[in-house]
Amino acid sequence: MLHILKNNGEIVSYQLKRVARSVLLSCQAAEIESSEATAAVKSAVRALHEWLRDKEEVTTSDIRFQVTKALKETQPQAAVIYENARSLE
Amino acid sequence: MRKKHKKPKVFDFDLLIIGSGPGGGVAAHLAANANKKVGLIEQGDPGGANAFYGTIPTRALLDAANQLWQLKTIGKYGIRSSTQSYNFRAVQLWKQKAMYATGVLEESDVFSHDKITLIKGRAHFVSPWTISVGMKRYSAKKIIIASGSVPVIPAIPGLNEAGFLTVKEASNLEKPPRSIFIIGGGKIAYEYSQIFSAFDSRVHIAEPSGSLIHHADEEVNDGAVWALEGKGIRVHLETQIMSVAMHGGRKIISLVKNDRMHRIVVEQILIAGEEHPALDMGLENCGISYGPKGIRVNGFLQTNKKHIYAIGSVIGKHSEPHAASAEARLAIHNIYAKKPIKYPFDVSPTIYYGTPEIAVVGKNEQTLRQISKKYQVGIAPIELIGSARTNDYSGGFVKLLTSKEGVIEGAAIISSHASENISELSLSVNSKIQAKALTAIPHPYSSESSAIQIAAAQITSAD
Repeated sequence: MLHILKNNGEIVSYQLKRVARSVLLSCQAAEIESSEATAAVKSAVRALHEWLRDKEEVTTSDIRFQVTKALKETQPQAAVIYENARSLE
Repeated sequence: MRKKHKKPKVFDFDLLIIGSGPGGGVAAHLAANANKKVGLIEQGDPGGANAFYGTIPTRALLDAANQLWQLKTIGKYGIRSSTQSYNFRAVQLWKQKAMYATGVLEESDVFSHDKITLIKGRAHFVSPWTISVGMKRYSAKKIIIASGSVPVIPAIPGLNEAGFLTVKEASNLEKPPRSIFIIGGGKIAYEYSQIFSAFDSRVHIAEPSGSLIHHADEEVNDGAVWALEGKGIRVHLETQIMSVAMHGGRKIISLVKNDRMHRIVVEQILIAGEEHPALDMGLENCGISYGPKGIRVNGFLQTNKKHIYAIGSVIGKHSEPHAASAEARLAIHNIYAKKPIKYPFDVSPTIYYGTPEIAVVGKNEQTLRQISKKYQVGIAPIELIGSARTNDYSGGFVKLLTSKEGVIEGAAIISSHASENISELSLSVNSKIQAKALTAIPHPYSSESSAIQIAAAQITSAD
């Protein structure tokens, strides 16, 4: 099972929904149209999962870095928002 | 927003090393012998990629291939040989024997030192001092990254579906393919084309640039191509692979050369060409600076995080195991000695094994022109040397490049024993020796090294 190491040292399990929601909120904050936002979420999550395939323990910073990198390819404005947001909830 | 990590007060190890190849392995032993507690992390087989399908196994196969080539032409010595057959399984056993002698096949022996803890698994930084391996975390005061490099699989339509070999699979084939297409030039192409050609494979090499031997002068490239074509290997330069398809169990490569489309049908494809540094290990979590070419280090092999060093092909300056080992020695010195020493990156030779061997060191003409440095050239063909008469090999040369003042800046050798003779020139480049010094030193008569003296004399006589 994949471990995610949080900044406070706590270990949690990977939550796809949480990542997808954060990306979606970033796209909405960047005023990206709904279907494009959905496509951006799918693409970012797919890229993240490909990167996670051979990992056992990563940090929340890793998740943020990889998702930002993937988002930059499709929605660079949303990528900036995602990268810098403390919490998008 | 990067988290600021707290440096631990207590560490699991004095030194953690990522990668157990020629860089990491040497560093581990040196540190352990200096009584440091070392954690050596290895994702694959201990000894690293080089031990299992790098220099030793490749040279074992090349040496066997060379014996077969010699047998095919042995009649010129007045020696008769009725047998030119081979048993490829036995050739592979020969290779295993060579690997066994290095100790890498006995996992328990390779790093059996009471100060070294071998940690199997994939390394991932979770902080500047802590690395996670298989969900366990290990911390160290100092870290060396020696993770090596990985082959780049070109994005050619149909390639993945058709299937291909990398050097890992190619070195372990049970029998040689009837035909093989090597994608990309460079060291793997030069060496493996000769192996397969000796064992009766029909071999093609395709390289998109105009040079089979990268970062070398035109004569070196021409010499390499000439040597391979003399063995029936077809070399296609300035050639783009457009697609790969499968048909009837065979692979069909479509390529463009000289603006014309061609199709070549083969049994196997080998990916040679570029390798990229293995960087996917959470470097962002420790703030290490890196780029597509590798981890950035200063002249002391230190990254921007002063307690973390990087050596070997992961720093993107070379891919030679001997350079990785030399860097390992220097990194350990720099970590633990009072006075650090700078690593002379320029003086590590690049070697292409085979028949002939190719060795290059220092600057080439293109580099010297790029920095607008005036230079002199001395070239001595091997055919001038006595041994060219006795062993019938006369195809190579020694080429020296010096500054206007005669200081050795770079060199290239194509000859049967280029790898044995290049060290003299590496030393010359490092120590800024002048050509006249090489002229003054007697080199054994009829040895290939006497070509170095002749090439140097060309430069001094022009002064």
